[in-house]
Amino acid sequence: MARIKSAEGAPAGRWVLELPPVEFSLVAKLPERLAAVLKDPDANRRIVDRMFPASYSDPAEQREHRRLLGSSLLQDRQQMLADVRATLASAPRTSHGHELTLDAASVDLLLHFVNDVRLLLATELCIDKNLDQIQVSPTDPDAPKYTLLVYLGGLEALLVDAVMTPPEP
Amino acid sequence: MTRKPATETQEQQETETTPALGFPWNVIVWDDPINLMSYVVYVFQKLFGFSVELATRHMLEVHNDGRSVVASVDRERGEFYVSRLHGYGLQATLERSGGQPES
Repeated sequence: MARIKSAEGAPAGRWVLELPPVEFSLVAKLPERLAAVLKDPDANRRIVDRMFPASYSDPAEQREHRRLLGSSLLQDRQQMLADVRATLASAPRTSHGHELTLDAASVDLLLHFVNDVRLLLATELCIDKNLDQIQVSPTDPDAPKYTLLVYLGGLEALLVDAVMTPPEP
Repeated sequence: MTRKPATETQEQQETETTPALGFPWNVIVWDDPINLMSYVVYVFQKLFGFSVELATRHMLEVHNDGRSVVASVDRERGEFYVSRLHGYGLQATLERSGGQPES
């Protein structure tokens, strides 16, 4: 399982995320999945609408708001993906898998990314209630997606805990 | 929101973005079955500088009541907050606060 610890000999606010080979391989493929959605928004309308929800309930105000924003929302997400790819590519391989040395900004970056992928999966799965209320059979064709969703929830919780837990004195 | 085990968190100072009267636009966060409770608390602390207690109170309001007004500010700042909340994957909207004139 992935684990995170404070970086030894480094100032507070730096962590090392250890990802075993299988998990690193899984996570490293996810930027492509998100990139495919962003590349063709019209073909992925439900997911894109979930990732970029309306800011106003009034349709006229929302239209004007979107017009002013232009393509900046998509560009921000694409930049985020580029940053995530660079972070993953910089992770050295160790005897345990890969180690990502993170500061608060890179934890925040990974949280954005992991949460976006969770939203993508949840939208594909049409989830409209809490995950702990959903039972999925191992033979369900969507079981791998649910498993990935739960795994990423665990990874997200790990990152949140690390960044919100005060450093030991 | 999806539950996860409670954690000890670092207390932060509340800021002037605590909902207050006198501003014409409310930033509202809506309930969502996917986002983790702890993640929502993290986002509220990060964006608004809430203490962990205040962030948790707003998160629970979202979870239990379906929505929470997390800031009452001018329109420009409200759009900034909503955009950042969307960037974090939270469902958020900007609405005129009741009875307040637009500045």
